[in-house]
Amino acid sequence: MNKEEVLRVLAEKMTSGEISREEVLALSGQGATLTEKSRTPHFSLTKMFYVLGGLVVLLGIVFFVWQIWTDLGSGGRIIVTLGLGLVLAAIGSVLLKTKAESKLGEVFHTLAGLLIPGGALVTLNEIPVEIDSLWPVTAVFGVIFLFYLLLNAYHRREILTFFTIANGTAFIYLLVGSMIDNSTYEKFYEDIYAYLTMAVGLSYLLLAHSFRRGWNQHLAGLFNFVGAVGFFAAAFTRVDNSGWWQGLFFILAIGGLALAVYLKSRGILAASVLFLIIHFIYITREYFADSVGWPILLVILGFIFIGLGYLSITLNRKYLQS
Amino acid sequence: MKKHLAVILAFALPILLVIGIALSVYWPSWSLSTEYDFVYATCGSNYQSSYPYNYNCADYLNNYYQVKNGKLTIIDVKPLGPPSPRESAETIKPYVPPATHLFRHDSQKNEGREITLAEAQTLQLNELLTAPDGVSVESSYNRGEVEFFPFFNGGSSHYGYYLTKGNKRQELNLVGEESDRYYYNRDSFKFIGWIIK
Repeated sequence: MNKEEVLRVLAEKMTSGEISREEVLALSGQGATLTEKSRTPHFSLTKMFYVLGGLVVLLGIVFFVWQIWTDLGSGGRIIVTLGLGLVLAAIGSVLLKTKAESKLGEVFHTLAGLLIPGGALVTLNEIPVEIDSLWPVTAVFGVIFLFYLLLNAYHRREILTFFTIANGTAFIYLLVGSMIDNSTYEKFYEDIYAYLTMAVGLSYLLLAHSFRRGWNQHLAGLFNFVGAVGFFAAAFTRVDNSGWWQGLFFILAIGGLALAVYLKSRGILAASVLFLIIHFIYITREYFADSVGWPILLVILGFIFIGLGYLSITLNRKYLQS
Repeated sequence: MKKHLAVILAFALPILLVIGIALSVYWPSWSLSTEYDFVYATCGSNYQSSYPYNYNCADYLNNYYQVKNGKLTIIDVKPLGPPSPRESAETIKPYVPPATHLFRHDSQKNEGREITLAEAQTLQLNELLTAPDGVSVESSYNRGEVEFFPFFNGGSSHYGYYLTKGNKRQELNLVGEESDRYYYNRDSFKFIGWIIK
C-alpha cells in the first residue's frame, strides 16, 4: 500500500468516525504530550446549540409525559419512555454511521441514554408481576449495561462509554444490594457500600488512565475527578472513631496528590486537596477544639487552608501544566 | 494484555469484591446442614371459620399439639367461650375445630411432606428449638417492599423461617408458605420437634 492509498483509507475511516482525529494525533506522537488542559473540549457554537437543543427536547418530553401520564395505559407509558428511548438510540446509531462528523448521533444517544433506564423501570413497574426484591431491577440494569457494552463495542463513542459505565455502576450497586438484602449481612450494609465505593472509585481511576490517549480521552478528566471523589468520600466514612483510619486517610490523601502529579490530573488534585481540608477540619475539631478553643482553632484551620491552597497551586503550575 | 491491563483491573476490582460479598453471604447458607429432620404443623385454610370461637392459629396449634416424653400428643381444645350477645345471629355458628396439617421437613433436601397424625406419633421427638448438632429453627421478618422511588411502592412483607447456626442462615421451604406466611398469618406455623433417629 503506497502513501496515497494509506492516506485515502485514513481519510475514509476518519469520515466514517471509525478513527478519530485524536487517535491519529496520538499515533503520530503529538497526542502523548497532551495535558488535560489541552484535552478539554474547546467551546463551539454548534456544540452549545446541540446541548441546548437536547435539554429543551428532554424537558419537553418530560413535561409532555407528565401531562398525559395518568391518561396513558401501561402500554402507552412503556412506549413513551422505553419505546421512545430505544427509537432515539436507533436513530442515534444510524446518524453515527451516516453523519459521523455532525455529532447528531451523540445528541440522540444522550437523550436515549437518559430515557432508557427510566423506561426500563417503568416497564418493570407496569408489567403485572409483583416485585418483592431488588433482583428484577438488578437484572434490568444488567441488561442495559450489556446493551451499551455491545453498542459501544460497535460504535466506539465517548457518550456510549459514559452510559456503559454509568449503567454498569448502577448494576454493581444493585447486585450487592440484592445479595445483602434480607441477609445476615444487612446490618453491615454501610461498611459494604463504603468498600464497594472505594473499589468503584479505583476502577474509575484505572479506566480514566486507560482513556488518556484513546477515543475516550475527553472522559479521562471526568472519571479521574468522580473516581477520586468517590474513593475519598467512601474512605472518609471509615474515619470516625477509628484511629487507624484517621492516620491512613492522611496517607491516602497525600498519595492522591502524588498520583495527581504522576497522572497530571487536576481532577485528582482537586479531590485530594478537598478531602485533605475536610480531614484536617475533622481532626482539629476532634482533638483540639476543647484544648485551644474555637478562635485559635479557626486561626489554625485558616493557615492550614492557605497552606493547602498554596500546595495545590504550586503542584498545578509546576507539574500539571508542564 | 499489558496495553489493556488498566481496563482489566478496572473491571476486576468491583467483580472480585462482588464475588467476595457473594461468597460471604451465600456460603454460610450453602454450608449449613443438619442431619436431623423436624416436624411442624400449620393451620388449614378453614381455621378462621370457627369465628367467633376461634383462637388465633398459633394459640390453637400450641394448645393442640404437645410433645410429652418424646412423643407427639394432641389435647382437645375447647372453644374460647360463647359468642357476644351483640353478635348477629348470622355469625353464631356451631363450633368447628380448625383443620391442621402435620409435615415432616427433610433438612438435607429442604423440602417437606405431609404426614398423618399416626405417623407423627411413631416418631421420637425433641421439642427443643435447637437440634442436637446445634442447628435451630428461627423466624425472621422479610421486607418484601422494594424502595426504588418512584417505582414499586408497597410489596408484601412476610415472615420467613430459617435454619440457623451462629451467623449461618438458610431459608426453609415450608409447605403452604405462599398463603400462610404473610404478615397477618405469620404464626400459622408451629415447630413441633426434631426427629431423634
